[in-house]
Amino acid sequence: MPPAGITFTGVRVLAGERQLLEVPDLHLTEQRISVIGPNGGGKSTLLQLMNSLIEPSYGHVSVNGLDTIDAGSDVRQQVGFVFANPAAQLVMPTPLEDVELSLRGRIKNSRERRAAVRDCLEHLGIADLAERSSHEISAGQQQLVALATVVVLKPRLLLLDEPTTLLDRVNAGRFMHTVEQMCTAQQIQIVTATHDLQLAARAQRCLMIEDGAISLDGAPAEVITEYIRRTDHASLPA
Amino acid sequence: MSTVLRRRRPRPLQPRDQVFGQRAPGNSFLHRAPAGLKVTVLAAVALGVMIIREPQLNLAVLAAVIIVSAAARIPAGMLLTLLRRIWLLLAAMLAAQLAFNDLVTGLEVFSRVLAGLFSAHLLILSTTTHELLGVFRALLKPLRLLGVPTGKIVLAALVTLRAIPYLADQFYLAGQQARARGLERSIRARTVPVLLSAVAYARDTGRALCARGIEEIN
Repeated sequence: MPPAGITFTGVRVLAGERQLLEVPDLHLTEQRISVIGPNGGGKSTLLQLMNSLIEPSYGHVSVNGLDTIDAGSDVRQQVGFVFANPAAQLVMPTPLEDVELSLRGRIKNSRERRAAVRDCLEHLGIADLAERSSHEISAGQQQLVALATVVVLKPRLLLLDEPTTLLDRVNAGRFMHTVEQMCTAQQIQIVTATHDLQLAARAQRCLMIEDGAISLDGAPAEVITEYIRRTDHASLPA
Repeated sequence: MSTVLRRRRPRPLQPRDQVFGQRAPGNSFLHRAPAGLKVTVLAAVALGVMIIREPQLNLAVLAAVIIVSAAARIPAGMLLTLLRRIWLLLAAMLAAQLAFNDLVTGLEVFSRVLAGLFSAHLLILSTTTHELLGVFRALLKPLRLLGVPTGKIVLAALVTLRAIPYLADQFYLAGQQARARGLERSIRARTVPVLLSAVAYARDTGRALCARGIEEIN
C-alpha cells in the first residue's frame, strides 16, 4: 500500500509575480476535511493542487504517494472533483449518458457500462432522473448527477469546491448526507471547501485559509469559532 | 363618496423563451419517424428549393409543411413562434430584396427562405435534441477515417448545445438586473454581465471536463 493521504512540501503557487498560495508543510490523513476562509483567500487553489488541475510553482504535492506533476493523470484517476456550478459540469443531454461518458474508458461493453451507471444512480437515489433532460432538472438534482459522474469511477479522494453554494438548504443537506454516507461506506477521503460553517463543522479537521496561507488548522469547532471572532471584529466599523 | 376600485393592469410576465426542448407534444407518425430520415428529407427539400428557384415550388413546400404538421397535430401556434422570433430579420431581408431586386425575384427569394426555415422548424418541433445529435454523430463518423478528431467535434457540439440555454438565461437575468437599476437602455449593462458569466461558464466547463479526464466523445 502506498502512503495514504495528501502531502504538501514547500509548496508555492505563483501567477506571474503574484503569490496565490504558500503551504510549507501539510499532511492530511483524516477522512473528512473542511476548508474555510474569505473569498479569494486560496481555497480553490488548494483543492485544485490536489488533483493537479493546478501544478505547484515550487515544491511537491502528493496524493496517496503519487506526485501531482510526475503522475498527473494517475492522480486524476484517483481523485474526483465536484464544482460549485452544477450546470457547467454536465455535457450530455441526459444524466444516464453523462455518467456513462465517465466510464467509456473503463468499461468497453456498452451493456455492462449502462448497468454500472444505473447501479450508481440507484445508489445515489436518483435513478428516476436517468433519462430526463440534464438542463431541465433542478440545480440540486444536477449537483447529484455531477457527483454521480465522479463517484462512478470509485475515487479514493473526493474534492468538493463549494458544492452546496448554489443549492437551497434542503438540497444542500441531502447532497452532503449522500456524500458522507457514500464516503464512509467506501472509505473515500473528502476535502470540502465551503462558506457554510455548519457544513464545515461536520469534518474531523478544519483548515482556514486567508491571504494565500493556512492561518488556522485544527478541530472544526475551534477553527470556526476563531474565524467567526476574527471576521466579526473585521466587519465592525472603524 | 364612493371610490371606484379600478382593476390595475400589471405588466404581464413574459415567459422565458425556451430555446431547446420545445418539442411539440404528441407521438404522431412524424414524432416517431427516424431522425436520420427526417434530416435527409429536410436536406433534399432545402437543396431542391435552392437549386430550382421557382415560387410555385416554395409555396408547395410551405403548403406541405402546413399539411404535415396538421396531420401530426402540431399546434399551429408552435409552428408560428418562428415568425415571432425572427420577424425583424425577415422584414429586413424582404426590404433589402425589394430594394435591390425586382418584385418577382424578391418574393421568390423570400418564399424560398421561408420554405427552408419552416421545414427546419418542423424537424425541430418533432425531434428531440438528443436524436438530432445522434444523426450528427453518425454523419461525422466517416471523417474519422481521414484522421479528423470527430470525438472532439462532437464534444464541442455538445458543450455548445448546453451553453445556449444557459446563456439565454443569463441574457434574461442581465436584462432584469439592468432594468432593476433603471439601465434598461444601456447596452453595456445588458451585455457585460453576460460576457463575464459566459467566460466563467466556459472556464468551469473546461475544468470539470479536465478533472473528469474527458477529451472526446466517440
